[in-house]
Amino acid sequence: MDDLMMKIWWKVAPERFRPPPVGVTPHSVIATFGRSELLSYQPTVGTAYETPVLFVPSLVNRHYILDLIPERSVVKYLLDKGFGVYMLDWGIPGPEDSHTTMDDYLARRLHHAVRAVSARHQGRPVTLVGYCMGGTMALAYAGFAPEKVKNLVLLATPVDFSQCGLLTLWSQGKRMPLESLVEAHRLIPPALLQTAFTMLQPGWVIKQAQGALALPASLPKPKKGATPEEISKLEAIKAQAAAFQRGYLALSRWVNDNVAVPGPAFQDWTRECFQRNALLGRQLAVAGKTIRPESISASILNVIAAKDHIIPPPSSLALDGWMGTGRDVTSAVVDVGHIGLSVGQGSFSKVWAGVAAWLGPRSMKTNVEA
Amino acid sequence: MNSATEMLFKQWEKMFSGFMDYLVRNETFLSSMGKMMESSSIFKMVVDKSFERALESMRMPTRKDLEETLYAIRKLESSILDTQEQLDAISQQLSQVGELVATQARIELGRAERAEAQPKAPEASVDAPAATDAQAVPKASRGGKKPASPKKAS
Repeated sequence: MDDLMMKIWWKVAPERFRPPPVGVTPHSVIATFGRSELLSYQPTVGTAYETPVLFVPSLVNRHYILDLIPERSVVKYLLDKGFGVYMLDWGIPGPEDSHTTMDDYLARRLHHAVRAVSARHQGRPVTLVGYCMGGTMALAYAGFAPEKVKNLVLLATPVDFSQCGLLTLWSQGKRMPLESLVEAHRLIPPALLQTAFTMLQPGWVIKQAQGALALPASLPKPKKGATPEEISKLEAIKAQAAAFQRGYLALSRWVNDNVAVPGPAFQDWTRECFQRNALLGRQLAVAGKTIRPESISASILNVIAAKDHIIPPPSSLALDGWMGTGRDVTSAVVDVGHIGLSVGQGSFSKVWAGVAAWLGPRSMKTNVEA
Repeated sequence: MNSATEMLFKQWEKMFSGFMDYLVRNETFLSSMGKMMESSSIFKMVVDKSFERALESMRMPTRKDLEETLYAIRKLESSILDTQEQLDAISQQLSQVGELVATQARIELGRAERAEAQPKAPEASVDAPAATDAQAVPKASRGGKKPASPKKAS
């Protein structure tokens, strides 16, 4: 029903309120695992690094936040830096996924994807880039199959689930009737998750919409007898505003594009992470193997958003203590919000330039023939 | 928006945000919402169960049957991928072993060829002249070959 409403809106809305196409960086599907797809992006420059990068998005949102529009695409940014880039699109769960557990996602789909990427690069270990829940999944996988992971880049990744603010509060006890919800729905409806995320900061949604949609009317108009310089300044402001609105509409499309989550996977995630805090307590298991920091050999870059209202910084910063000393773990706190890490206007200069600079020396360079 | 409307909107927004922030942390509200979710989930389960029974009585496959069948197929696909990976690994190991064996064979062949190519040392004769130097020539043991000694110049 929600999809139908959105499709109708996109048809009848005026052109300036229609979101632009998203996820447009050229790519091909090189493998499928159930409804999940492994995407390989076409290089834009000569490959400078042999260690491939595999993005692991969250299960609850679509993958294209990392490839939103060409001017705000993390995928394109890393391709332009010479990295081989892949994306694991978890896809939209179907009826068969009503039995899919977190072990299925981690020990099967992610494991198959990592092996497929590694096989295309002479069996080399890969760099995993995980966003939010995808970061925790990537971290757990690095403990499950350490020989497959060379580097980990974690973006706004919850580690200490007792510090996740409202999400922790809502997941406890009778506030979250987990068993009956999973038994009744089998696939947790996207509307439930969408509502939860909106309620984290309801005022933000109104403010953003009001600001973006009122933008054209609030732009200054040229006065009579304006000089060419003044007119060109106003044109530049209009162009900036149009670019901002384009980005906002693409982002709002993604925000409203939540997907269902398989009930068993949702139950595993909520119970093990939010209720038992098993990762921090060294009790989280993937396919029977307990995930311990000692078993993770990857170099880790932990990027934290200072203004994150979904995963508060203390939850991500707990990684330092969990991993212990004497490890190649770098934490970087950036003055952006949760979504700003990937698509904020300053995200490339504030975040991704630093990620590329960190990743370069830790990625095997391509031999350049004389 | 003119300034008065904007001011009113901002006041409303502030009040609404504050109220919602209070509400989502309020224990009474959260418990009620939890109970409501549980009741609606149980109601849905009852309705789904009645549909399932109706389909079962008509000997029609239920949604649960289809879901379980599809899930089993997905697991089989995953097992096939695992098996392919294992076969690839074994194939790689076999080709490495094959290369090692081939390398070893080449080394042995090279040794044999070099041994054949070396000139054979001449055999010592029975009437060999006595040694000209003062060194004692060791007596040949019974059945053994006499050591070669230099021929006397004619």
